[in-house]
Amino acid sequence: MTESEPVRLAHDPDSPRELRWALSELSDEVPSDEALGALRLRLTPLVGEPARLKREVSRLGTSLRHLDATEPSAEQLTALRAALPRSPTRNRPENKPRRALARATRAAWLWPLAAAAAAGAAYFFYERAQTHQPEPVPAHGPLAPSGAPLAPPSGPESSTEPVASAAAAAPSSTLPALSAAPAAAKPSELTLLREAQKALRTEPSKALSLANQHARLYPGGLLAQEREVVAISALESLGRAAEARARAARFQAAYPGSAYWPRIQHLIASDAP
Amino acid sequence: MSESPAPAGGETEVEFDQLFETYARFVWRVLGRLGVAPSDVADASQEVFLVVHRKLKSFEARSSIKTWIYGICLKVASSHRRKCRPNEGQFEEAVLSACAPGLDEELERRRARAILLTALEQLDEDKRDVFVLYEFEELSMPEVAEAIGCPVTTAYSRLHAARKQVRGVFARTGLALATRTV
Repeated sequence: MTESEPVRLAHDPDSPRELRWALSELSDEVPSDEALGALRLRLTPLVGEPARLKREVSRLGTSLRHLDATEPSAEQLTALRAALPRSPTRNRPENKPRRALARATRAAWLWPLAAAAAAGAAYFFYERAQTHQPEPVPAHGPLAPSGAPLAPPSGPESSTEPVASAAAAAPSSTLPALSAAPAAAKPSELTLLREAQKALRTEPSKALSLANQHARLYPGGLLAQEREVVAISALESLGRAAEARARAARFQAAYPGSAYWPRIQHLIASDAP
Repeated sequence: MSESPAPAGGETEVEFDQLFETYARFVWRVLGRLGVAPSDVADASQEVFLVVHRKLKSFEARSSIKTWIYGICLKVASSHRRKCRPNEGQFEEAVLSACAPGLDEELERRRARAILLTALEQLDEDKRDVFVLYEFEELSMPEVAEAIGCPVTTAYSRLHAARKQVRGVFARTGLALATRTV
């Protein structure tokens, strides 16, 4: 028997009315633009700035690298605001086919993102600009001899998603809050990594030790690759270039073809002869 | 392109942003429907997009990008669900008992929403995945099967089972409340 797809419950007159209501209520719930903007910002250190924002900003003849923690001029703000797509009204219209809604508000998250960047709230941008600035910097001083705790990605993860097992062992009671107060319990992968990322610019040694802690707690973790990027970056900042290169080599062996490889090459190239 | 010295892989970045624009809302929502606690959805979404970014280059067009991303959501949601189980449900219970039916439509809608969340919570993971992708995200059944990585027939039988259970919860809850108010 060829089974045609069943009518979806939300459109099935035989469904209880309450069920149809509930389905449509839940289907219409979408995150706010602010939430999406914040999410994109949080991805920035690991993923790069949003290309579109980058384009818009460069059209203004400035660069994201200059949108640092100092406040922008009023002209800059106005220009940026004008250059970006208008923030659509955030009140959801009463009667909305949700696909149309999704289309209409596409990229609206860019707006808070841009505002945040311009207002200097985007410390990530700043941080990243500092960390990854590829200006020819004189080679770092004497290479520290190895011996520091290096936690290589222990064993290449299976080529499929490592996700399922990763967080299973996490404590059941903690809901990792965004502000992530360090609890006595085992910190979540994301918390550790975020803290490490935050520490990169100001305290690379702390960043490195957090990354190593992550490696101990979550050897095959979901964010193992991101952790290695942070660790290599920290080693570079500490002037431990030889270790950074060794760790990069292990990274390449463990994750051939990783999307992070170009970034890592870039990091370790900055002090190559 | 831009003069800013972006790290290599600019192509991927542009593509990544397009994906983010297209799917961020859906990822966020589907994670919530799949049982990730509200306070955890932002973190879970971040994880999804990190995986997307990392695997983008190696993504092969064997599956559609949509089912690929949904597949990642399922895995991330699964690991988050296990972390958060104990805290779920209590809130919804409270909402349920606070709202008697028939007061006004707004309240009834809220009550219906709470019942559905409770019903979803009671579903086994594999049934819930199918239910959410089919009923909320409106994927086709072959797409659902592809995202989950199971045969289409299996997806169908999970859908039927999930629907039966959800309807059952609605029937029972409706009845319980009706008798209470009578």
